[in-house]
Amino acid sequence: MATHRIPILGWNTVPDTGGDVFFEPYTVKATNDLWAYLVAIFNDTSARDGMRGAFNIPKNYIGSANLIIVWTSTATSGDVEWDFDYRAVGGNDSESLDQGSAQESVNANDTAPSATDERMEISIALTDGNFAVDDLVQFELFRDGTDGGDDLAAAVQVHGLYFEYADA
Amino acid sequence: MATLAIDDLVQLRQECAREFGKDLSATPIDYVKPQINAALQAIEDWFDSPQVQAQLAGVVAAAAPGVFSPLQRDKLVKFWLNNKSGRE
Repeated sequence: MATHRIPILGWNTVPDTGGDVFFEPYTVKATNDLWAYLVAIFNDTSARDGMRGAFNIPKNYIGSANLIIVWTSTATSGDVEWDFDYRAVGGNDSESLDQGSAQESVNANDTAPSATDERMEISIALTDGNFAVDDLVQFELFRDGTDGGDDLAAAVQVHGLYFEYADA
Repeated sequence: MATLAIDDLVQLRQECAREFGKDLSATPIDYVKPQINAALQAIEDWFDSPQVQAQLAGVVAAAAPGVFSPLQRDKLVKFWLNNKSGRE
């Protein structure tokens, strides 16, 4: 049995319309103007701001599903509150892609890096039985500024978002 | 003395983080939301206090007697602070 991580941000990733989640080159926040790939910025707000997308469950999926968020910040104090809502839709002409609720909502709190811009990683367990091979997983990742546990007083940058799973 | 609205605090925190981020060695973001919120409210309370307002009115009136209305005086402070921020 092997563990795999697949990136789940892609062509269909879009921030919500509030203006406090957006993409910008990492060089905007970074000190050294070297690594200019895009990162997703989640601003410090008093709202629950999100970014939406969808991805497919691979052919070799068996279980041990987790969401992996790779992030950082220029802040070195405080916590960020992550929420993740999703629905896995499968089959051919059997299940609607336009359902009105999430299948599961999970959340986790993580602490600011001890030094600015250090790579942070948090793993959030997902329910294995919710996923099947070839499912389309619709999702939204939130930074929840309405939660008192989110007191990090700066933007956080998402550098990677992954679906982790085990094969047979 | 006015209590800063949540939206005002959010905007101020964002602006501070952007400004501090320009030189994190000099201005680290090593505080949390309640701490900066309290500091900003304290500045608001101090500036709006009767004592500070009276001192401000007094020094402006002494420098330029009968010239500036209270509204003009507030604008003078705003633009002076903008200029001072640019110089530091």
